[in-house]
Amino acid sequence: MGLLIGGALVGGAGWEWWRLHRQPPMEVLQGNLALLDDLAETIIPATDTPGAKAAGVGAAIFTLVRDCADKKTQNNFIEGLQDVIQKSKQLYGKPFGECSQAQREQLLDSIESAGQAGGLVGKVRKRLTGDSFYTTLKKYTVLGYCTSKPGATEAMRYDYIPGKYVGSLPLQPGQRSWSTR
Amino acid sequence: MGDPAQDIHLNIKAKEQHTYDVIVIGSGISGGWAAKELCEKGLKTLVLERGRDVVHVRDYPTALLNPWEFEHRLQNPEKDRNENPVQSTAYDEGNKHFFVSDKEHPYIQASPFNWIRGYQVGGRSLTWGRQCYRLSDLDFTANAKDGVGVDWPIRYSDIAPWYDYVERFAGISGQKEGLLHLPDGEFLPAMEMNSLERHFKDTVMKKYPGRCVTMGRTANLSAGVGGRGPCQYRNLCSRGCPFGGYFSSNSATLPAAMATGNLTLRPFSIVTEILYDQEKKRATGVRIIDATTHQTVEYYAKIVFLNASTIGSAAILLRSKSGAFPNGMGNSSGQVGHNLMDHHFRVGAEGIYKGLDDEYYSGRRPNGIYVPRFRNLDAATNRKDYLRGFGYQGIGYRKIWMDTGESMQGSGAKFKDQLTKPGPWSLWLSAWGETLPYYDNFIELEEGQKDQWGLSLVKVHFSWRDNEKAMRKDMQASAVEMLSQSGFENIDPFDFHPVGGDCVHEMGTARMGNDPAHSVLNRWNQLHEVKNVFLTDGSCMTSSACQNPSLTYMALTARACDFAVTALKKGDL
Repeated sequence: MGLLIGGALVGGAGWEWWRLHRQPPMEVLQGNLALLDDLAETIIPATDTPGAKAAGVGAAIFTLVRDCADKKTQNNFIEGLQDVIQKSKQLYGKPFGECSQAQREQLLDSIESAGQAGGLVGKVRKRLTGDSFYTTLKKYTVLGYCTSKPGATEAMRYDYIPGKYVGSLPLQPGQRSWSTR
Repeated sequence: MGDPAQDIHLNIKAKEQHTYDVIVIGSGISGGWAAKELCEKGLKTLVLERGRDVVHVRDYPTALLNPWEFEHRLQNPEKDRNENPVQSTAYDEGNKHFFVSDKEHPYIQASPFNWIRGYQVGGRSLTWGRQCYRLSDLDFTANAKDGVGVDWPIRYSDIAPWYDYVERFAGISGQKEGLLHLPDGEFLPAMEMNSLERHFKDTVMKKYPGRCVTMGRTANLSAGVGGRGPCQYRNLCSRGCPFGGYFSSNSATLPAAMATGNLTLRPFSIVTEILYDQEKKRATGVRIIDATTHQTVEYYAKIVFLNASTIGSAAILLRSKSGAFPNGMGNSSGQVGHNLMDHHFRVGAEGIYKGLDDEYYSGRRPNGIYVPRFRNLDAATNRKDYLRGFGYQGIGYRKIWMDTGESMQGSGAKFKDQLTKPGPWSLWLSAWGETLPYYDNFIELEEGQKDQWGLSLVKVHFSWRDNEKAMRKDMQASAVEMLSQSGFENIDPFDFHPVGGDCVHEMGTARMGNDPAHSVLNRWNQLHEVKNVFLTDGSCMTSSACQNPSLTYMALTARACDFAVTALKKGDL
């Protein structure tokens, strides 16, 4: 009875609140480590240097979402993962991991552009509802990759102990950026 | 209790074993200097530190780790933000172990104030920002000229030789500029500017006669000093440097003190009060609680140096109540705990520079550029809207993944290529401004609330006032203007509205002054009312100036130690 009344009174807004504040189903995240790798690899694929999968970015995203994201962001992220699973089946008739790089990029691009909200609207939305799935995916893919050993030392340049600072050096064609500062 | 004879016997023995020439409370920047100076002058010195021991190199567990060796890639977990809401604003996964736990060390914010602390041997000298600038007579005469607070009891000529002295030992790299209001020091070679910083310097100095852009002056050793350093340009200083590349108590002053054979260092020693003998009108020693055993112990000495940090030292004075000092030791003026200052900062601008595309740099320089104060120096630079001034710290850099990655659109090989290429040049220019002393920015003890050692919690009252608010407008506008005049685009003005304490430059709670009725310390950093107690940490500051203050604490400490030992030898103390 109490439950019914509560539901009737609060209605849709109540569900939205619950969606963000419930205990995030972390087992969904844990069960989709391969998908996390595939998503990260779509954003940062192997080229002449290792991609996100080889850099273990899926596992890094898992740890970062589990420990560093707030509850709302976690819920958004897990929901977004389930959305990706559904969408790739709907659009391409197969799991995300079996899609071509072009298909996977297309799918992610569509999620990225659907979630665009810059400026004040974006700021207010973030405060109220946490980071979107795509924002978190991009943020932790970039962080996970660029702080990984392959990302930092092969895709970019890493100097463990520089020993000196040189303020002006000619940039060589194709030269990669420093991975730390 | 028990057998009185035995008690007396134990007491006598304990008293002998617990007696030193001098007790230094605290082992941070100023306590470390006091230890070194007093030990080197031959005094048997007991240093009491409330936190754990941190041995140089041995206790820097993260110093040599790569980014991928941190579970959270140097991000703070949500748990840290919840459990350590104050300290986690200042630490990351790499240096967290050098900050206190907010839970274990509570205080009360009557108004928002972030009290950032490092309770360990070396204190915050491990994690400090290392920028070092001298004060000048512009600063030492400011209060008298403006009728603010009380006059400093010293002038630049009193402290200048002591700046020389501490700079030579600490090792400060910098560029001489010949400015009266930001005096040159005994510098190690200046670090290099990069191409964008040089462009900014040249343009500003051409377009704004009287303004200067110089290399940051920092306690990073651009050349080795006494077996320490040189700096390896890793820019991981706050984890502790295994190369001894920057000045800290742990790397520099405490080993020097230890080498004399005169130092006894006692960690886990929370000083509850300074003991006072009303007849002799002297401090006789201190009482501590052992942080781990919760046992109370007394130590005795001829002189006490109180270097427990601005808020910590004021709290100890306020707790040191006696018949002679019902409101706390040396507090007949009622000024102890008051006039709390911190620099106001995190306001300025950043701009993109289109050009210098084929220029880059190598190494991670733990330092930036500095624009010394250029307001209210003389009639020509006088401002009607506020007193005093500010300096800018700046850094020119090419953006990398951590600046651009999150907002860069798309995915795939093209995204990766963009992500890993040097981005556009950018210059960040952020101001550090002087805060005036206000009597009602203060700390007090909340008698009703105790910590785990039964000590009353510190309660902080703090706010910025009209002078700081007016100055901030100029701090932002002048940054925008200089960037604009130097050819920058997409200029992004910022003001992150910091609260007190964010700058970790707390000072002023036991100010120096000539008149005992209105100040706590005399010109030698002695308590006016208890001549054998010296305070030489930030609490002594009569005004805040806008320069990073640690170098001044070092110089005042060395000067006070020299005075104290001379007086002791003459029998005056």
